[in-house]
Amino acid sequence: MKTITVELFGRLKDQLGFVQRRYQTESATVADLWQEIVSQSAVNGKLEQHSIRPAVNDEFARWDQPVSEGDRIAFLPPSAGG
Amino acid sequence: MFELSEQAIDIAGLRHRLQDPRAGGFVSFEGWVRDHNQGKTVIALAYEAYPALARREGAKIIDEAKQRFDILHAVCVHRVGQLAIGDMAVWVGVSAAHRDAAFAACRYILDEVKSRVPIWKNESWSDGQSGWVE
Repeated sequence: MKTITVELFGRLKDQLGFVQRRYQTESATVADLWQEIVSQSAVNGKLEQHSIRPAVNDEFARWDQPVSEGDRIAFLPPSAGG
Repeated sequence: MFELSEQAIDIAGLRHRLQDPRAGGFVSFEGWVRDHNQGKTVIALAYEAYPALARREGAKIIDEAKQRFDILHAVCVHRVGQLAIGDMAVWVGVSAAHRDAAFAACRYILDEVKSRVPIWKNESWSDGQSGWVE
């Protein structure tokens, strides 16, 4: 079991109902963790993985990146600045 | 240089950073908060960023512009926090020896910042509702 921190931004905070949360997880990859979070949440609205980008420890990451103890893993909706 | 700012953007200070004896001019772009979007009347908005990642990605875009175009200096500042209609949301400035490179680099930086820098916009509408706009 690994202890990690999950952070959400933009609409994902409203859709999944939290901003930051510590997680105990056995998920091997970032994609597995995302599925775990979604399956445990009462998802509000449409949540398509292809529109979301993960970041691990302040770096953009791949969905197949392994989850390690102490990671700070963020999920980002499409950017909308400007 | 790329920065996030919680305060109103200081154009005079930024313009000063672009000055260079080798420059023949500079091009700037100001993005303003407009009062309508996607058929709705906007009364205010808030920008949220992922600061560490936004700063890193913004700096990368500035570096790319310097490699792709024959420019001297490039600066972009993006607001975060609460903004009112007419407020400046983003400022891009580029100085160069010649104007073509300055125009092209300014456009490049703005387009890339909009699509790549992790910043999100929450609009408040005249009907009392608000929501994230992508």
